[in-house]
Amino acid sequence: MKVVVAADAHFVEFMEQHTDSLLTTAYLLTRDRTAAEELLQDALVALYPQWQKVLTADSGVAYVRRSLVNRFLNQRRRSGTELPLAELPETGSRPDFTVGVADREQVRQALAGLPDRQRAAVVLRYYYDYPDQQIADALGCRIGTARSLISRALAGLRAGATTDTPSGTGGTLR
Amino acid sequence: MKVEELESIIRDELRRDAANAPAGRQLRTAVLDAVTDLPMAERSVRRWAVPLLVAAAVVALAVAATLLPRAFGKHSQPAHPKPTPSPSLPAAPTSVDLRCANGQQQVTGASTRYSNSAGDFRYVYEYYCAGADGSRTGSFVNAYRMVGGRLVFDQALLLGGPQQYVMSMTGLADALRIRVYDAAIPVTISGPVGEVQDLAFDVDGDSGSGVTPVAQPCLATDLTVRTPQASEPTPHFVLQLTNHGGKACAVWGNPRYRQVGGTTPVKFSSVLRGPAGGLAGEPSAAPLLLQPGQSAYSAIGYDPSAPGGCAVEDTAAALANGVQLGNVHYVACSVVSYPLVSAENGSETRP
Repeated sequence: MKVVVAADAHFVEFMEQHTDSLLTTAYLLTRDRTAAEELLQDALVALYPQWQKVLTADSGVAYVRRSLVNRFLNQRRRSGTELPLAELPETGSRPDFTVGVADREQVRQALAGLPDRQRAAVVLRYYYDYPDQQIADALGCRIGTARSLISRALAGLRAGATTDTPSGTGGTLR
Repeated sequence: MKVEELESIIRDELRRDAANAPAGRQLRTAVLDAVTDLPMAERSVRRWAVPLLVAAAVVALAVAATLLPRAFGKHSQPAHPKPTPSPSLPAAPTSVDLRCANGQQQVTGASTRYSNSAGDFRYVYEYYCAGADGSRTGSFVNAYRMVGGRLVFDQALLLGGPQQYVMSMTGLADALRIRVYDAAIPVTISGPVGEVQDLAFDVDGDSGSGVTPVAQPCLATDLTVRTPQASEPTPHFVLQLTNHGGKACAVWGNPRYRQVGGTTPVKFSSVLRGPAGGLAGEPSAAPLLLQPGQSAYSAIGYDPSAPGGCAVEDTAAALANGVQLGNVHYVACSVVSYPLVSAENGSETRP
């Protein structure tokens, strides 16, 4: 009973301190204010019965953020919104970009179009500066896969801008 | 653009996005209201029941979906041709976390196995979603390990990049190479896309992982274009592209045609899979790596529903990635473009 009370109090305190930050995470993942609020609310309500785990984690915020990312990816996977569809290239040549002028806009658009797992990896890397291992933990994958996700995302984002450098990635297996 | 510049833009854009995130005050209230009447200890028990019931329902549906068509002696969906796995490989697991869009179904593609330094085998299978019209997703590649005679998912190696297609997979002791065609790379200011790459996977995590570009997309200057006739299964023209350059290059997809002469409008269309009757339901043709001297062929069909009495005067041909091949000449009243394949008559299955 004592643990539950302590966890309950911690939950309230945690909410006070970290809701805004976690809502930012949710918004960066979903790019939609309502979806972000629903995602975080669902994640917190689901975590509440097991709040002792958050209480005893090295970093409670990181634990909840990881749960948030997992819930986001699972929701999208179940709803089937993540699947990227192939198309025959409609135009043969790349757009004739003027180097440096339209890059930012192109990257912005490409960021919005990243597959969910790649976007989650990019958010964790470039907004939260997570190292590879922490990204892998948050995404529930191996470190090589996390690196691959980021590499693929960068290649996709480059494709939205301009570059002369071909890119792609292999990975690390066990 | 250098990587540092790209990363800087990404950080800026994410910060800009974050500034638009909603405030959490209302959400705090809503969450606290939601959990107020739900003691921690009890809720966790109740929440176990729902996923268990859902899982049981899913299993029941899966079993029914498998058994019922057999019971009635037919399949509920048209079957895609299934590649025959190497005799040394177990059958590919079909329960894959891959959701196919409407009109597409899961296809198992290439397969191989590799072993790590401990001598443990990993089994690697490619999956993708394909539609009857030849449309397909990028390749997903999973590695599995054998546990108690069954394949158990180990890790995902490729995640279905939207235009990344596996051409082959080679597994060795301590090495795995996946050759892919990436229809989005290389990214240059105005050049065509469609690079063949070897993805090397570092089996033991020490060194060697990376990407090696194998071939760039074929340019018009690499290719000799001819339009010979073929007689089987019915008389038709073929667009023949021969790599006369000094190094390998890649081609893929359906050539595109555009009328550039004559007054009678000509009907143009594409069949993403092979010629009708030969490849019904089969996924789109694989990308081709043309070594010097090798050719790729695309059947030029005709549409029997098009009006007769006309002739194509001049047609400009281009590859799917926009490489302009120049004008080609053949007599037809309509033009149906088939995928580039290695068979001389432009068809993969009907010589």
